[in-house]
Amino acid sequence: MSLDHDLSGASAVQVARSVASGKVSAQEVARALLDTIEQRNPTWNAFTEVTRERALAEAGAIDAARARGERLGPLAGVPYAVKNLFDIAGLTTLAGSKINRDRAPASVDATAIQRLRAAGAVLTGALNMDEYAYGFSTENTHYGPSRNPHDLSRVAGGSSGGSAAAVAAGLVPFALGTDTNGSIRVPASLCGLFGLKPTYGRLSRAGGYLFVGSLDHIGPLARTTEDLALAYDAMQGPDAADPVCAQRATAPVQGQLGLGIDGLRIAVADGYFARPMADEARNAVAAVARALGATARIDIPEAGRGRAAAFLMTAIEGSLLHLPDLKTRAADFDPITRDRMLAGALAPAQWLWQSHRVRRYVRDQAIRVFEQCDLIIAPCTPMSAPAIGTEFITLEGEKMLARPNLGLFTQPISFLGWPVAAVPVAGVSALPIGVQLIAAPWREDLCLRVAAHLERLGIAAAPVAAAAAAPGH
Amino acid sequence: MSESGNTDWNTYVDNMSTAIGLPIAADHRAGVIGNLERMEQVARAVNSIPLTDTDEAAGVFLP
Repeated sequence: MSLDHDLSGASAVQVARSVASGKVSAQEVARALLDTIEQRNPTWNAFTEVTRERALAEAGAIDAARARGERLGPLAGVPYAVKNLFDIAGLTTLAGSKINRDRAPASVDATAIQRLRAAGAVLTGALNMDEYAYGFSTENTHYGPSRNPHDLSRVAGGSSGGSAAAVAAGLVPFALGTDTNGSIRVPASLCGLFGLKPTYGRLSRAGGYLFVGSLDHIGPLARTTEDLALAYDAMQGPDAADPVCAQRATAPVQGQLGLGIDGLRIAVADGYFARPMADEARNAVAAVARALGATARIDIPEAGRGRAAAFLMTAIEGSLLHLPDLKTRAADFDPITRDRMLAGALAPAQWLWQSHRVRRYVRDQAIRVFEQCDLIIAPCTPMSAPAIGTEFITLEGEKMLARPNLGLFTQPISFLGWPVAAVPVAGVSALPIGVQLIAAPWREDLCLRVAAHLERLGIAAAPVAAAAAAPGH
Repeated sequence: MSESGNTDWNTYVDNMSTAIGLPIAADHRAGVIGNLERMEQVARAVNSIPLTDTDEAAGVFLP
């Protein structure tokens, strides 16, 4: 790689190899991408903060380590960025809010950032999101909407919309997001990216600003499955600082991406997941099923009532976390979600308690599907990206609120805590659309193995958005 | 709140906001009640699941 090339299309794997071989220095890479971010970010509004000094210092440390002959980490010199709910030492953790601006800066990095740094990755900044992660569109009133790099008039999805926009626009090879009800998978689908929501408890959330602790996950978004696996593997491992983080040995997936699909029983989700959706979403599922030879259809029991319970847990837990601020600063909340927050804080405790009990019941019903299959294909979003400001959508004649229903198909799966890869399906519509590849708990390897197979077949692809890659942009 | 959807959310909001010390400004009242009505509908689906006494909530949920 030389800096004659635009770095915006380079993958994390390419950058790490080039830095390790000395073809390019980590500081050269960092400078080039930081300049690109500075010039182009205003178009997409992906970044809310650029950590230039820190990035150059981290890159300089990589170059110095190489000069000393030290072995470099697998992400050496790879720029990335994080949703602005992750603690970055020295910066105030906004979590998309106006209220948090008044808080003290974080004193240490979130665990995920510490682990990525240990692997050699270079942090370039913090990314836009829905306020307190409560949304699927990143139409943030305080910081403006993040725009979809494939069509600036459309949403990037949310709540990790800045993360998706940054990767789809080629500003970084990968980014971190969080997923409570679909907030990695929805923006991955709408921006045409690979995204991984691991098993609940697989990756540490310590140092991340919680939305709904009972449902929150973290994970990466990237343009290739190799990059997704690289970032995911670097973040694995137990962490006593997060009570939910499992005490499990790491299970690296990078070496498994080439294993193909032989011997896997793959089915298409039916029942709840066959409900109204736009043609592009249906066509995406059909294209992936055809490519994988999946003809069996399977019903995930209680998906609908599971989503209902997730909705209540989100509304009530997500609101009660902010009760002190709701009492004194309600006017400073994003108007898009303020009334929902106030209502959630007032809601009866029975609804929350019942939802938690139902979660176990639904888990025990639903897990049985894996007696019949190893992997499930399901739609990711019910449609491609709507225009910014869209209040209602109509799917097969059914009118519904746009923002909450972008997570129609993702919410039941995060409720179950199962691992899912969001996979961008090539060639089914003008705008990006993804599908979900769902596996049993702790089988992220299967999700990524099948995603990599689809990538090799050309069925899945996540190029830098054409508009973003256009010369002279 | 009733299972039949006849809940008097106006009174509920008054009482609950007093109980937990969360004032609801007049501008937000209709929006809050609209959200509670929607949640009530959703809660009906959740409450329709026949749980037994042994169906516990998980302190830390394990999938």
